[in-house]
Amino acid sequence: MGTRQPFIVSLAEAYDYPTELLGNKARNLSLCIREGFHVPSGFIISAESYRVFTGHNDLQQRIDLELYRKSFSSMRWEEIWDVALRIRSFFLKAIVPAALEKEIMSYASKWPSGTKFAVRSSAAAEDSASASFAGIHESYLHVTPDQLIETVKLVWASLWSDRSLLYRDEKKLDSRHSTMPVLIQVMEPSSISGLAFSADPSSGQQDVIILEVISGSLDLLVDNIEEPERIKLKKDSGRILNPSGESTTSLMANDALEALRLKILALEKIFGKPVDIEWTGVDEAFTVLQVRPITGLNSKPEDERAWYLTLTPGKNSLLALTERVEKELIPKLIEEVGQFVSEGPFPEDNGLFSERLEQRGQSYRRWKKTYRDDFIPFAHGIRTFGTYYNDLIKPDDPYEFILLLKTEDLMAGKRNRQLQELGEVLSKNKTLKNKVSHFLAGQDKVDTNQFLEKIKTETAGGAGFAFAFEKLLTEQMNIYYEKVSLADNPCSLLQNVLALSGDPLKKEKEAGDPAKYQTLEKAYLEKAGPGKQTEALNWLRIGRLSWKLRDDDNILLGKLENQLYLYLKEGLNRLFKDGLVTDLPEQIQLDDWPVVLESLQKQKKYNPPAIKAPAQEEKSAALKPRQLVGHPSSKGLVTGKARVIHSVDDFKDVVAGEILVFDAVQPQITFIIPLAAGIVERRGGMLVHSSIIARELNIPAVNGVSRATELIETGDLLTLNGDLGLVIIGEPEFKLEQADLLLN
Amino acid sequence: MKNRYDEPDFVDVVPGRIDNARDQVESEIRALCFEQPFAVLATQGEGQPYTNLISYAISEELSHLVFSTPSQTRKYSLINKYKKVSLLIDNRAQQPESINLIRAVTITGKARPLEDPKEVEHWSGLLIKRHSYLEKFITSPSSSLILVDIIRFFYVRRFQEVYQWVPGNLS
Repeated sequence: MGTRQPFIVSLAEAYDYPTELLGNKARNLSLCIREGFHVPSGFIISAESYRVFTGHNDLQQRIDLELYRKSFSSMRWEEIWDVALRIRSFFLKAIVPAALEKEIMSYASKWPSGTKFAVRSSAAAEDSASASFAGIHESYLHVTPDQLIETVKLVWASLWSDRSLLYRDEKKLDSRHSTMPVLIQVMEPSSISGLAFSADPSSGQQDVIILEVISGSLDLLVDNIEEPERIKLKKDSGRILNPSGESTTSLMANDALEALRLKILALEKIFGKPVDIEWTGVDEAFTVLQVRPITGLNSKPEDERAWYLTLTPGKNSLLALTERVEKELIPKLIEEVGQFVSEGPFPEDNGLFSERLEQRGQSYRRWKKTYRDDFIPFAHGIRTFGTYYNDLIKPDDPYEFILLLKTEDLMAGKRNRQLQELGEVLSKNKTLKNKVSHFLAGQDKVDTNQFLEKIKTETAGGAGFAFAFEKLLTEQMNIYYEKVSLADNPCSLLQNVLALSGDPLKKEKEAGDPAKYQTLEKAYLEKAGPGKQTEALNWLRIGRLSWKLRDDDNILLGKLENQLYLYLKEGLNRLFKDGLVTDLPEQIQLDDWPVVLESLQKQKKYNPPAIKAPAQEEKSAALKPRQLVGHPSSKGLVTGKARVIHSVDDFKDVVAGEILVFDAVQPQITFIIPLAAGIVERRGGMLVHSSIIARELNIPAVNGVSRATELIETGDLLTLNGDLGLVIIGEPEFKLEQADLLLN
Repeated sequence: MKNRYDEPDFVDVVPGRIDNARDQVESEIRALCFEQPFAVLATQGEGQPYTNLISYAISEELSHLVFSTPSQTRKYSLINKYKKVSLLIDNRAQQPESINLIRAVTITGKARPLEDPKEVEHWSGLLIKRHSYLEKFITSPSSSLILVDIIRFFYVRRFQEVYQWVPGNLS
């Protein structure tokens, strides 16, 4: 072999090596050692080690296949998370070459047995003046020597986390050639630690020092476990500038504070620009844990990294959120919806009517905020559990954890079963089925209500069917979806029931098989062992709750929206009668409720907002997709006719056995899925609602297909490959070639 | 900042997509066919497929492709008997690192040797312009120019994404 670069370099010598090999974090610390600062001793596993490890396991090719099968810009965050999960799983299962492992372990054995290490990322682009990456990659503390190799793999894998990928994309950094040196340092106990900024990163003010101090080790601060004391100092004099005007601090004596100030100034001088320091200990014990130039000073006041960091809430904030969502928010939402529904018909009195409209509007406004602030972040409970499960079990299928999530019924599941039961009634009662099809063919010249009343008395078994159908309509379809109430079109629903009656009912497959998930659950808890049993159970509980609530919340909020919709519709009718609206709008805009309310209260004229039609791209007759790529969200192969769903209006035309093509499927409309032979969806992700139902019903699904509803047309022959995530359009024919030959 | 969440605002779903860029398939096919100098030609005879590497030029409107071959070759006699051909043009040589960056186009069409002097002059000019170092070979009396009338293109990118494009008004 030629001269390869070193696998390992001691921290003390790291400054002599290039950034590409060891990263800025390690080199900055090495410079501090050289300048006489105390830094916990350690070593760096170089970029060369990363390359040898990834090369040995063909990881770069695997990453490439996962990451670039679609254009990165067309991937939504969930898809990127999925890609990252698969890549992480490759890393966990990959093998560190023996020579490299030997070198790492023999280096680590230089410290006494029982030493614990901090294992931290030191990626080449990290901690440079242009991009900080703070909090983007993973770091692990208190790692024992026997956990070292596995932990290094996790840090390597974090180069490909969703956060890291998005951050590099935003910063236009090249992902394809990224590498990840890893810094290993001895853990040192500390009674006081903190952060220090030698300029105010938020205002750009350079004559101050900002300190965040806690008693104990720094991780308590970084993980938000302890609230730090914040101190602002005048850089030149050390005068305390806190708004309270106090001249002392509770955690630090004034001379210790002065010693700290001098250390910070010395560090700033070494780096030649304002620095951000993680430190521990004061006076003689002052130790530099990390130092880097402050990025973006004077350019952007807001922290542009914040958004990526919120994508996966920390362990503690997720625990708090679970409590809040489970014990407070969902019961409150159920109660509020129940209250509105129980209020019965619209009050005739305009004053009371307006009051109720306002209650619904205010409620809608409040819950909309809760949905964004709490429900969407809470959905990450599933992912946090999934990551925990994968770290523990290292399963072949990184989505195996999904089998553990489904224990009790989702609201949408109950509704779908009611619908299927109605279909079953029709398939057994031929007379009734004939009546229904006769009616739906438009031959009875009555509306749905009249028809239902008729069969209640005239047809055997008709009463039971009609009552069950009405119950389904009023209790399960009182949901607002895409500008309409699902209860508005009973005919369409009856059409779906009829379609279900002809289809042999799909049986739920292994996902619903209790024996299978009980075995998995047992294996999971056994692997956790007695030491981690409580932790493992807790994550499982959070995963399950998050799983159930992210589906149920949509149904509940749909019911809440429906209440506002009904009141707005009635309100508009009243305004119309009073001549205050000239034309009733085709679509009701929920967000316009305060304007409608004001018109009602003040008897003012109401002008409905104009509706912008979405821009349609011109279709090219010459260009046709033949095979589109998405994610394999439910296994299996199927061929059938495409039915493109542009809105719920298309539901009435769905024929059992078609392949449904959606832009996005929400839990409110998953009742249509039992009719489908396969699902294609533009919105991608292994955990999206449609793929969950598709897996339960054992029908193939491919999602994340860019522009699916534009590129595919109703009637196209589709073949779904749910194992590879492919949608094949049309047959493998040579008609054009044959026709051309005949012509000439 | 892009809306990567792509979650509906509340539960009122507004269908939308992040990917707003117009498809560049047509221009990608054009770019590939003009940048690549070589193609794999598939002919057939006696039920036997047969492939060769050729130097080609393609017409501006992507309707015709031209190449040259000595009239004594196997491919020449095969085309004379059976004019249906297929060609593969790809950029794999430039993309050794990533299978997702490889682009390939499969062309179907029918081939015929050119005899009309005007046609020969026109198409040989195009081919010589693209491959000037082959001028002697192209103009040799023992070589024949073969013109392929293109029927359609099957374009593959990102390993498995496939589009069909029909030039002119054949579709």
